Amino acid sequence: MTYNELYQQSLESPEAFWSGQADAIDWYSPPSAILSPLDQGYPQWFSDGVVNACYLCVDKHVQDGYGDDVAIIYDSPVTQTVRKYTFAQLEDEVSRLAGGLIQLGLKKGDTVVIYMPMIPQTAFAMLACARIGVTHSVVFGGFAPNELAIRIDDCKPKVIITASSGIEFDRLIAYKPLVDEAIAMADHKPKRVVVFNRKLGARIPFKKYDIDYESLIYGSEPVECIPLESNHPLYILYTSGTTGKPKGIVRDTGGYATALKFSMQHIYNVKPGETFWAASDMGWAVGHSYTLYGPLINRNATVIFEGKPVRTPDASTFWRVISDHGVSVMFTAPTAIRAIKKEDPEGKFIKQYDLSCLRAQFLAGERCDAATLEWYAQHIPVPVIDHWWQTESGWPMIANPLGVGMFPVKPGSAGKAVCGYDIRIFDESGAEVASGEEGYVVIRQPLPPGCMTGLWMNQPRFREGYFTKFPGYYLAGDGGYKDDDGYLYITGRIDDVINVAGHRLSTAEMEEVVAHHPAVAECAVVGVTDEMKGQVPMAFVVFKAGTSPEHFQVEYEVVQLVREKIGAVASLKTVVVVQRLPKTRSGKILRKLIRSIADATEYQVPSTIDDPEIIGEITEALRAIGYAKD
Amino acid sequence: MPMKKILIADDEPNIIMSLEYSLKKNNFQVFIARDGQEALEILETETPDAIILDIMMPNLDGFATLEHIKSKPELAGCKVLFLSAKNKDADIEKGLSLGADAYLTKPFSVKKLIETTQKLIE
Repeated sequence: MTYNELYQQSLESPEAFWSGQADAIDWYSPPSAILSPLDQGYPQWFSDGVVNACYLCVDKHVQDGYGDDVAIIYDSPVTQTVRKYTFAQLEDEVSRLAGGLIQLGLKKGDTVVIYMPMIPQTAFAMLACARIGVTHSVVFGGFAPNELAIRIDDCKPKVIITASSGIEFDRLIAYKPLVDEAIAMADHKPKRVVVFNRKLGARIPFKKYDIDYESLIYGSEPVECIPLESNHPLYILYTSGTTGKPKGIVRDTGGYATALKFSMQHIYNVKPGETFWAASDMGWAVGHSYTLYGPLINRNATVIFEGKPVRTPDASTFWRVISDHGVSVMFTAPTAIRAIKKEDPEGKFIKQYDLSCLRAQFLAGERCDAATLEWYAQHIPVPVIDHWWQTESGWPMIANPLGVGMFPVKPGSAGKAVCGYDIRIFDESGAEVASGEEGYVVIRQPLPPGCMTGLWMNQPRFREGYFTKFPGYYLAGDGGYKDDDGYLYITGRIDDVINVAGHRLSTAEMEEVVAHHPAVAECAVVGVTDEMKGQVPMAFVVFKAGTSPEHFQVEYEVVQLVREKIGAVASLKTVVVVQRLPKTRSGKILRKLIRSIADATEYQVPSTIDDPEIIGEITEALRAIGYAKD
Repeated sequence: MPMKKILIADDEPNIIMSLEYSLKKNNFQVFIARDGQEALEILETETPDAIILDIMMPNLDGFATLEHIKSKPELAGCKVLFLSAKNKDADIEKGLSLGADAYLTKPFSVKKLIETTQKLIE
C-alpha cells in the first residue's frame, strides 16, 4: 500500500484504521469501543480496552523469549560508564522498584514526580510507576527549584524520585538540595523522597522524608503489572504555554502505546531487535516517547546517553555511540548537529568510525535549516529526515514515513501529514488558505490515538487553549504553509512561546521573573534568531523612574535571576536596557515588532502603535550590541 | 467458501465484545459462551472450527471443559486454543498436555490471536 492510500484510509475510516493498529499490541482486554466522544466532544480512543504500558515494554518480551536481548544501553561519557541491561534484568529492576513503591503506600491513581539525570534508574522509575498505575511526571533535571515547586503544586505527588546528582559537562550538580528547596517552596508536601545515590561525591542533605533507593528495592518483593483502563493517565508532562504557568499534558496508556508502535514501524522503520537512539533528555516528550516507551514497546534496544553532542569529551561522541552500539536509526535535534558541525566542520571525527549500521537520521525539535541538512548528507550517506511534532501530540504529526516508502526530502519542510492527522492551514477567519500561503497550522478533530487527553486538572484551559479559536480543529500554536505537493513547512510559533535548541520556553514566564527585579519597572522578553540554538530569549527592561542603577549590574542580576528561577535551560544571556517599550495605544507591548527589529527582518509599523519614535530608540539600543543590522 | 466458525468461551464481557468484533471483522462466524457449561451446551448443536477457551471461568473451568470436548469424538476436528491470564510454565504445559492446540497468555494481541487461529484451522 502506498503512503497516500494508507493516509487516506486513516482519515476516511479512522476507527477501522486505528482498531487495526491496536491489534498489534497486547491487551488484557482489547477495546471494542474504538472512538467514543467524551468530555464535550473531545474524542476518546479505545476507552474499554485494558492494558499496561510496562507490560508492553518489558514483561511481554521476556515472556516471548527475548529476556536475554539488550533493552537498555546506558552510555555515559561524563562518568565513563557503559552498562547494558537485558529485558530480563529490566523486568527484575522494575518489578522490585514497583514493589518498593507499593510499600511506600503508592497505589493506582497516585502521582509521582521524577527529577533525575539520564541514568537507567530514571527509566526504571518511569516503568515502575507505569507497572502499578501510578502516573509519573518527569521534570527535566535542568529546571530550578522554583520550576520544580510549580510542578509539585500542580500534580501533587505522594513521592518524588530523585538521584544524588546530575552532571553538566564536567560539573557535578547536586540534585537533592534542589529537591529539598523545591519542597520547602511548594504548598503541597510529598510524603517521601526516594534518593538514588550515584556515589559521585555530591552532597546529599538528609531529611526525614528521605528513603534510599537501594534499600527500598533491597527489601521489596517484585510485583506484577496491573491491568489498567486504556485511558488511565500514564504520565503528565509539563510544557510551556503562553502564560507563566506550565501546562500539564496528560497522556493515556492504550492509545499512546498503539501510536508509538505504529510510528516505530511506519515512520522510523525500525525492526524489533534493532538499536534505536533518541538523544533526548528523559524530561522532554522525545525522551518519553522515543528514548523510553516507543523503542521498548517495539522491542528495540534503546540508548540512555548521559552526555552532550560536544565537549563530552569532543564532537566525536555521537559517532562513537552509533558505532559502538550498532544504532540503526537515530533521532536528535538540529541544534545538536549544528554544534557538532561547528566543532568539526570537515567531519574528520566521522571518518574515524564505522557508521555502516546507521540507516536513517531523524531530526526534530525546531526547524532544520538547509545548511545543516546538507552538511550531514555530505558526510554521512543516510537519509536525513526532519519531522515535526509537539509534546501535545506525543508522536510525529508531520514526517517522511520511511517504513511505508520515503518520498523526496525538501529542505525546510518537515514532510507530509502523518496518518491520522488531517492538517490544514487556516487564515484568521478559519478559512483554508491557498497553497504556499502562510497561516495557522490546525488539525481537524479527531486527533489520532496517542495525543494528549487533556491538561492535568485544567480542562477549561485545555479547551480554551486548543479548541476555541477554530471549533472542531486543534490549534497547534505554530504557523506554517503547505506546498502544491502536500509538503508542510513550519515557520514558528504564533504566540509568546519560543523554541531554544528544541526546548519550548515561555517568554511570559521569563517576563514574570524579570519583572521581579527591584530596579525593573516593566519588561518584555522576545525570542531572537540564533545561529546555533534557533532562537534565544532577549530581555528588554525599563528601569523604575527615579532610579539609575548601573546597567551592567542589573543585566547581570537579571540573567542570574532567570537562571535561578527557571534554570540554565532558559538560556537568557542578553538584557537590553531601554527608555521605553513600544506599545499599542491600549498598552499592549508589541513583542513581534521588537523581534523583527532585532532580527532585522522586514516589518510594518502597526497602525495601533502609540509612539513610533520608540522604534528608533529600540533599534539604536540593539545596534549597540550587534543586532538590528542594516 | 463457507464462513469458518469460532466459539469464544470467556467470562469477561469486554473480552467477548472485542473478540467478537475482531473475529467478525476477519470473516468468522462467532458463537459466544460465558462459561464452560454454556460452551458445552453450544457444542451439543454446533461444531465450530476452533474454540477460544479461557481457563478461569465460573461453573466449569477451561481445563475441565477441554476434557469434556476431548471425550466427544464428533468434536475431534475442532481446534482448541487456550487464552488465559495463567502464564506460568506449568499452566501452559498442563493446557497443552490436555490436548489444546495452542496456548496464548493474556495480555494478548488480537493480531497474533487471529493469526494463530487461522493457522490452526488451515
